[in-house]
Amino acid sequence: MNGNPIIEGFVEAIELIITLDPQVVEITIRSLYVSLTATFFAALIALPLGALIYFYEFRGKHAVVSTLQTLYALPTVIVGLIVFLLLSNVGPFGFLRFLYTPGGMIAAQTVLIIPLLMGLTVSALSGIDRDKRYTITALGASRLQTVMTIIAEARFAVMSGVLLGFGRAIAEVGTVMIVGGNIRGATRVLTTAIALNTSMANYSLSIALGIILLAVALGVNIALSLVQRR
Amino acid sequence: MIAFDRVSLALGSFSLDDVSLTIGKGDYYFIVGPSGAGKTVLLEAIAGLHRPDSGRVLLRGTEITALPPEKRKVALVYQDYSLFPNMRVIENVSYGLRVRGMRKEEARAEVAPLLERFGITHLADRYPGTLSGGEQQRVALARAVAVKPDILLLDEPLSALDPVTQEKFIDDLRRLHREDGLTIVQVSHSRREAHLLATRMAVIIDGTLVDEGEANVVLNAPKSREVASFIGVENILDGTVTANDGGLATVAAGGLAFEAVTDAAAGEEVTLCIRADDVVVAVGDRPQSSARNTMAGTVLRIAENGPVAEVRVDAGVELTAVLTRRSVRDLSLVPGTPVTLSVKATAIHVIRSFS
Repeated sequence: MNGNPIIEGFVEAIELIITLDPQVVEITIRSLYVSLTATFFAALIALPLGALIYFYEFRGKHAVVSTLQTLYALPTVIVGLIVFLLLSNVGPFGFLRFLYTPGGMIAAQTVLIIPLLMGLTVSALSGIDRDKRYTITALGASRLQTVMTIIAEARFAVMSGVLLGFGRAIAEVGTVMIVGGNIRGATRVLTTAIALNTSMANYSLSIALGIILLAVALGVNIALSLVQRR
Repeated sequence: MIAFDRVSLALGSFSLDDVSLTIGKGDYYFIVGPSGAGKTVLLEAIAGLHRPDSGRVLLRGTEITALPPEKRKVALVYQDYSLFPNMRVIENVSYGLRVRGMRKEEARAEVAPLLERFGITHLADRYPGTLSGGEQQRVALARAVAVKPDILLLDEPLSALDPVTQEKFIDDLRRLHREDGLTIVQVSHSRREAHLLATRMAVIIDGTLVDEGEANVVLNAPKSREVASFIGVENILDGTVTANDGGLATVAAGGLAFEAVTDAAAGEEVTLCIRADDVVVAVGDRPQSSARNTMAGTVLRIAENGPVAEVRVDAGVELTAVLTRRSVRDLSLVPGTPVTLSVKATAIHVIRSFS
């Protein structure tokens, strides 16, 4: 076929996906592993912290929530730079030897999406009306039981937040590029591989990985709308 | 049973100012007042959901100002029901027992008679989202009663229901109060609900308790013009006492002279409250009657409302009378009909300016 390189790239990309090209599979699995693990750790930290912010009254609470919402748009390269410095040989966590490893990338993405998950947890819990909270308390529930009941009530909204967090993690390129270094066979993920292969005019691989990334985003969206319909 | 002793509380735009009241065991206590008056804040303060800035809350004489809600043995039902959409009806109703540590099967067995009583047994496995407003309200009430509260707190429980469902629900509430002897505190806008259910009531306006006492006294003998207006006294006239003969006073109001029973002295400014039910309408000039107040007038308009009709009459001042629709028909009343109004001196409640 002697035609448009983009169209040829598309055709080859489909072939790469259908034939389960080892490189495509390896990059996809690593991407999913890094972002799913980061989302898990971020949720583990952010959900209780978000609940704590919602349930406890303290001075500056409004400012904290506003700050979290501002951090939704935290530039990924800034997080990458900060985590890079922390994990570098001269940084306080250099001894972990996490730089240029999937572990470092997980740490970076975790930091990136924690504010988002915290803010969305506060929003999700705020969606449960005050009357319901009071009703639960007046029915004799302890503070912990009240918290657990409200979290159960808001679970679909909380899950939506977690899915959004995963979506932001898997789609970002800045932190994983800086902290992971985009090393072939070690730290290369969907977004960094697309960036590299596009610059090398290797369109077919870029397009194949792009289609997979879009499919993951679509999957997250479908899951989100299913959850939000509940 | 529970008493507020000079309780003040500020909560955003709502506040309570120096509120003192006593709710006795077995009372059906109504808290009425205009929107934003602080009625719900007062109800929630009884539940212990807000701690007073000053003053004391007493339960059977023991101070419980700082006692948390879960230890007060109260249950609260809001007008939007606040059911848990992710739990079935049976789980909703048994929630209060479960959080008290009762095992699932035991709690279900415990609430089974309640489901029967409120006619919701057939809904036990349904989710709240699939129920009508009336069914949801009965589930909310069953959930509250299931924890055997000392005081049941209801925040406008009838306002979201259609008239037919309201009647059924009023019967449910009356049974709960009379047969179970439950102490109930209800926030409401409705004078009719207060008439039907309340044994005692408080009127709260702008966070201040402006009237409190036996429901029939508050409803029929309000303490101020403001309260009279709020509780829906149809005829409120400002006037001046011109004479007082041993407690039977003559009051000049709106160009008319009314006789009313009061200790107010000549020269004193007063407000006359006349319930529309107490105004008798007759056709003809000089009907014989023992009523001390008779005045000639002309029907201005007639507004029918179910089996009754409000008849507005211009008698120098505008007065409203309530008649059955049948009486309106029998007297052939239409706008323009000349009529004679009569009101007994004892039916006029006199509010003294400095009482």
